[in-house]
Amino acid sequence: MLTDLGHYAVLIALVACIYASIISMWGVRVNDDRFVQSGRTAASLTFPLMLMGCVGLWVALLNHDFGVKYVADVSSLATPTFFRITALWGSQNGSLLFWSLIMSCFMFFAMAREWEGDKALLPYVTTTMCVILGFFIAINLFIANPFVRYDFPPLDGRGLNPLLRHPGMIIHPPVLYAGFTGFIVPFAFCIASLATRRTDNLWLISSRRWTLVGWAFLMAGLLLGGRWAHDVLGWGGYWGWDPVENKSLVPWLLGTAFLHSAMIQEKRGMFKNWNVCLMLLTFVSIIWGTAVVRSGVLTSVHAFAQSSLGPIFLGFIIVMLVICLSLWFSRLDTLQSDHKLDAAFSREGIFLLQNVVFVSAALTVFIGTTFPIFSEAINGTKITVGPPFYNQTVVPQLAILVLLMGVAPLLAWRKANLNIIGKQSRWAGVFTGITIIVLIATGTRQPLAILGFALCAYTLAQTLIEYGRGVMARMHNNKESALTALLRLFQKNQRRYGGYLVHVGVVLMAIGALGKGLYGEDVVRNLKLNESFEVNDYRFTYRGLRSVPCDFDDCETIQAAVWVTDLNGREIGSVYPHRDGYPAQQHTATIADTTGSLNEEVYVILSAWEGQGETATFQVYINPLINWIWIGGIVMLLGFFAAFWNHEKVKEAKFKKLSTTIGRTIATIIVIWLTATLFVLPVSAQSVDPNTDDSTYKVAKQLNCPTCAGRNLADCPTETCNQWKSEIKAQLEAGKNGQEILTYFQARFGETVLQEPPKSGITFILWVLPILGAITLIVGGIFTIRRATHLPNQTQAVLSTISPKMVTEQRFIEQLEQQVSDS
Amino acid sequence: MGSRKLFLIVSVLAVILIGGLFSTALILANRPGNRPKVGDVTPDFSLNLYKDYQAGFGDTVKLSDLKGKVVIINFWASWCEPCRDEASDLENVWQKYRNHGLVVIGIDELDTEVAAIRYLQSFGISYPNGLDLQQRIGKNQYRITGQPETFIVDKMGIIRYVYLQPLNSQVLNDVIGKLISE
Repeated sequence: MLTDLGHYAVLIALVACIYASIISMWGVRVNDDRFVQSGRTAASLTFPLMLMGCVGLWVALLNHDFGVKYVADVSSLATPTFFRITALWGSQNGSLLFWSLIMSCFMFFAMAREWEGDKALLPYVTTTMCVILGFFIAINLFIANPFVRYDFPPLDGRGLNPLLRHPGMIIHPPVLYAGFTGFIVPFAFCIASLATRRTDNLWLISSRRWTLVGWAFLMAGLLLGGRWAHDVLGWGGYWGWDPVENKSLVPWLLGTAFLHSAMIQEKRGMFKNWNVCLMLLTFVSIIWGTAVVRSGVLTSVHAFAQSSLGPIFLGFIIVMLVICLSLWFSRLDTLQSDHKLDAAFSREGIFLLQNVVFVSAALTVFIGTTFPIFSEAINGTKITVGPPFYNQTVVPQLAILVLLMGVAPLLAWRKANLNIIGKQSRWAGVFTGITIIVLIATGTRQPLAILGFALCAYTLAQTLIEYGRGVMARMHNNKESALTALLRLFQKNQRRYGGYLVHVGVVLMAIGALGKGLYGEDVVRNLKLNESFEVNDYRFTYRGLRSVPCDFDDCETIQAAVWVTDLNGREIGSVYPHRDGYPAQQHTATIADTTGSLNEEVYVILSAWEGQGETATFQVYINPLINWIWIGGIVMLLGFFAAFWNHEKVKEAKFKKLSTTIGRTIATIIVIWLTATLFVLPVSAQSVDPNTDDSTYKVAKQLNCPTCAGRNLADCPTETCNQWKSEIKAQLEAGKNGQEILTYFQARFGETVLQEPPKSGITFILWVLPILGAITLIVGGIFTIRRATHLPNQTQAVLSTISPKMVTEQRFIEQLEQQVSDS
Repeated sequence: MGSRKLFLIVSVLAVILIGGLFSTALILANRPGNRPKVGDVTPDFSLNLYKDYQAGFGDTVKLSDLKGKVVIINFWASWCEPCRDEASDLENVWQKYRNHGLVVIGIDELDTEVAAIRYLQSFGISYPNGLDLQQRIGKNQYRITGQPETFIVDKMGIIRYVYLQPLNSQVLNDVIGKLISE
């Protein structure tokens, strides 16, 4: 009953969307604000209506109403209440409904905001958002309807997949969806500004905080996704360049580029055209990602099943692109910069470069992710693009970004001076030098590691020095204590210093990624009871196997005890990796356990055992510095909150103060919750074949599982994979080397089995495209700079007479001006 | 304005190109129509045979050379559990009709040779068998979705039966008996 009501509510929400988009445009046509307001009300209504829809489905899930097909697909009588609630987004149809709910929620708040100076944008914003929301609701109603009923309801449902019974399931999808749908607000503002020809800073300022919110949710979603991959996929890593991960990374990269270049437009009235393009691209890439995952054209660890959604999404993307492009093209004349670029070597110039790298990185990820589709279209084979491709193409670009992050804050607006930069970065330079010396002295010999850590050290030092400089200036000028000065610094220029905090987080993450990537170890060993083995500085002793109570009612747990000591026998910790069997679902989950220190994680999996535990096989990952990835992520989110909190409004009225306090409390709870989730999540994993030893494992890591798409051969437990691994082992024993074995597998089973696509034949295009893209972007960037750096000779002459000292003073004056204007 | 026009043309072309490729891929990904079905002329292939499983055909067997014979094309793999149910029945029907114009071809998918030979030996199989190199036959031509999958071809080279499940001797004898006598 309530479920049917929910179904009708969703139907009415669609009607409301259609009504709102038409009546708003009518309001513009007849120039009557009443119609526009009516559209606004109708658009706001979609949120409660979608909520009713979701409540309807929740009621069915909670009541075990297996007459509803979706309920029977994702839950059973044995499913715990908690997971019956999260089952709403456990499968395609329900998660689309949930997606629309979050989108309508953003729309609700956007409609509820005060529309004063930007009232002219309202009807277009309403229409844009309603058309997009309407599209998703229509898909929900007519193609992927979660309310469809069986004629003859089954007695019990199929139950939720045990892999999805992970606490990460509670929060990861909602956060990620909020990240995707959050960008609908700035996108709608962008379209509205184009439509009304008000392409000044209005749309940027109106949608600034919404962009930040979407960006932060996307960031948090990526982070939780990484943590989840670390926990459930049992490979000790955090990022696998899986299509589903990639499709969230592309909008994040584009969105980050936008956040930066938007600042240039606000400050200097430049890059208008570029900002519009970036925003349009960001949102199109979000829809692209959704289409790719939900249509089943790409296979991935967590792709939804093949469905008929593909062509519809494709049509929607094409229509969107055509509308965006033609709107953008017809408004090109209004997108001229207010200022010319004074010098390439300036804050503006480096922002442009940084933007080019961001977009190029996003483009590379996009090419890698979609290449399998194109290769299938061109010659019928779906090439697998694995981590090696991205490590060689995207990672260097990200490294450049880390460097730019350190340099950019030093460059002055308009024209930077190399001498000043040299002067200002000497302490960071000293710190970097010390870091390099310490690294070499402590035995680091890998050039890549030294380069990477030196880069991180420089950027980190430079960012912290920026804080120091700001604090000292305030202490000196305002006679404040250091702490007050720091807090005021955040308060007075929250976006700038919040942004720097995000930069600190990025560097911490980079340090973590370097540690794990360059120094991570993984080994597999079979041990007798009380036997030990050693990896690096750790000794692992197998102490036995036992049965313990399971976390859920319908499973059984076998747990191994392993003592971890250092080589002198001093205890570091005990780990209890275990395996949970779900007899009803014929599924087992292998749960890892971890120990170690903040700087080095020791991650142990119980792969297999014989008899009553006379021998057992363990897989051990040593993950140096990996915890810094999570810490860096939390710092980034804190930076977001620092940038986002609205300090100015606090003064206005008491009740606003109260609401801000509430807002902050909620925000703090979210941060704590996110933090807690990141650290408390239990760790589970897939099992690994006991016959695999290290060298076989290393070769297998470079191959794909032939039957289960998107998985590494080494980590795949199926019979086929075990046979392939035995073959690798046999060939290794016959004296072949790794490369020969890879060639053998390629010859027999095609290029698709290789993790790293060969740089020849059709896959050559894959390697060339990102380079071509980067070159095009760089040439475009240079062209833009060249065209914009045309200065009158007089100005040039004046500039050349300015001495470095004067520029320093000028910069100081600029900073002062900025602080005054900000306060 | 020349550069703008150029830009527009380039972007429109890019959209068309990307859209076109994407839609081709979509169509290809969802093409059930391309699967050989009952009544179609069977796609031709040649299969490199395992050394001890050539049954007098030499190194390779070419389907188009078998005109005038009834052919069972059976896709299997040693790691495929259901394949084991039909293995000896296939061998039996081959033994029974091999002198009356029947050829059974076993196409091995995604397999390693050691495991495959062990499998063939354990069921005493003697009909021609070989590895589907780079899955050209199974994936590209016959578009199989799993193992076992069996196509039965009549003397004219027309597909008459397609099975996506293990076969048993009764079905095999009925069908082959009928096709041989045609």
